[in-house]
Amino acid sequence: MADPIIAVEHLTHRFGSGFHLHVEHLALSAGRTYAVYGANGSGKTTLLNILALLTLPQEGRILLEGRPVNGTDPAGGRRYRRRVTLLMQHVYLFRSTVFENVASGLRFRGVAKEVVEERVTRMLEKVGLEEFAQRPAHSLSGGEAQRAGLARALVTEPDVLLLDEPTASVDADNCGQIEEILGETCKRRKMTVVLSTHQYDQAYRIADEVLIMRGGRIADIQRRRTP
Amino acid sequence: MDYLLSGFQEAVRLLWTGESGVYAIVGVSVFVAVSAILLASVMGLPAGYYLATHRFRGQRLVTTVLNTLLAMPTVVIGLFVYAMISRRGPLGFLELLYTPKAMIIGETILALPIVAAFTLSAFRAVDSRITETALTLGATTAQTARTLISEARFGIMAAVVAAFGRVIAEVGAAMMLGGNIKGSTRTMTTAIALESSKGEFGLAIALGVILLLTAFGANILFHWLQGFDD
Repeated sequence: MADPIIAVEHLTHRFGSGFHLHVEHLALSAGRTYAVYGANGSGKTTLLNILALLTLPQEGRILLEGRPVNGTDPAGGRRYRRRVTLLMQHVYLFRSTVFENVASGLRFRGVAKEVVEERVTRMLEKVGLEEFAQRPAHSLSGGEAQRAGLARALVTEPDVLLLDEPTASVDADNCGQIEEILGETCKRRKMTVVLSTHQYDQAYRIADEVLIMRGGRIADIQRRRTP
Repeated sequence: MDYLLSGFQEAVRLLWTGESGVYAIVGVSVFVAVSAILLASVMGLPAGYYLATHRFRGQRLVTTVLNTLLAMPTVVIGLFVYAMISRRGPLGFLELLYTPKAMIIGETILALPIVAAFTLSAFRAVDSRITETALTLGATTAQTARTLISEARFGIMAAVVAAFGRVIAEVGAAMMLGGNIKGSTRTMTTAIALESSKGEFGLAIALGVILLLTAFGANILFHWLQGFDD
């Protein structure tokens, strides 16, 4: 069996309040969609932040394609994050246009201007924001901002896309659109998706495997039943 | 009241004709203030950024000292620099006293804490998710810093404008270090002080109007730039 794209081993992270996250072993296969399901405070966001290297675990290690990741090394961290991207629950859009926001990840990577133009335009069409391209990003509604954030993450074509409750603060229409974009783009690109949610039906609707979190631990992993 | 009325009439005439070296005085003021602001920005902007983005031992003390320096009386700055550059001072051999350079040094010391403290506030006021967002998008350390600076740009510009407003309207250090020499170190504020003491209100009012408009303009710009952060 091939190495998982990301593996986590003996991971522990404690907070002052007493809560601590512990994941003994977790392997994420390429091209699959995972839902991290649990109540508020179960450790979903902490796990995703650690997987994105925004929080460095106090114990344990993360492996990318079998190789340990050194989160304390800025260059190593950057190389990892260029393959593993996180969309935070409350998306922050930079003080510029929607187009420039979506282009930012590509610009950080030094992608040629014409390629940026072409890929961002295509991505904005995909998320239904092509008419908003030149508008200030801060003028977008909550749902539109979430879609712009998703476009910004997707346009860099990461191997692993981490999404922290991407539909928690959007209406049903935007929620449906986000799920559709995710399903279509990620399956086509064989992207690994890890999405945290506290909505039971959403977890089983879109994921191949559901990681059930309780009290900072993965209590169970359930595979989706084929209809 | 007649002398005030004739003072205003004289001010209008001087502003129209540019006599008595009105605009030369304005030029010296602007030159000194702009030079001081440039120097203070070169030092104060990185200092404010560093204080906002790094943690180190004694940081609270540095921040407290910086905030205290915001209220430092300008005559104290004048006294300190005077002691350093006067003939008997340690830097007396540079012969800076009563030159525009001496005034620039004093005004830079005045502007530096303003630029640094307001820049620090500007960086602290920006959204904490900016750095995380840039990192998740694969930014390098330098790209993350550039993104943070770009997001705080209006606050940073406001810091520079606020410092300019303070420096252009300052009189104590300018008088002590420049000596109010006509055609060389006479600024709007020192000229106003001199002319009013002589009872020559025409030139004083004319310069006062320009100074007021400059300070007013700087404040409007300051509030306009701060408005972008709301």
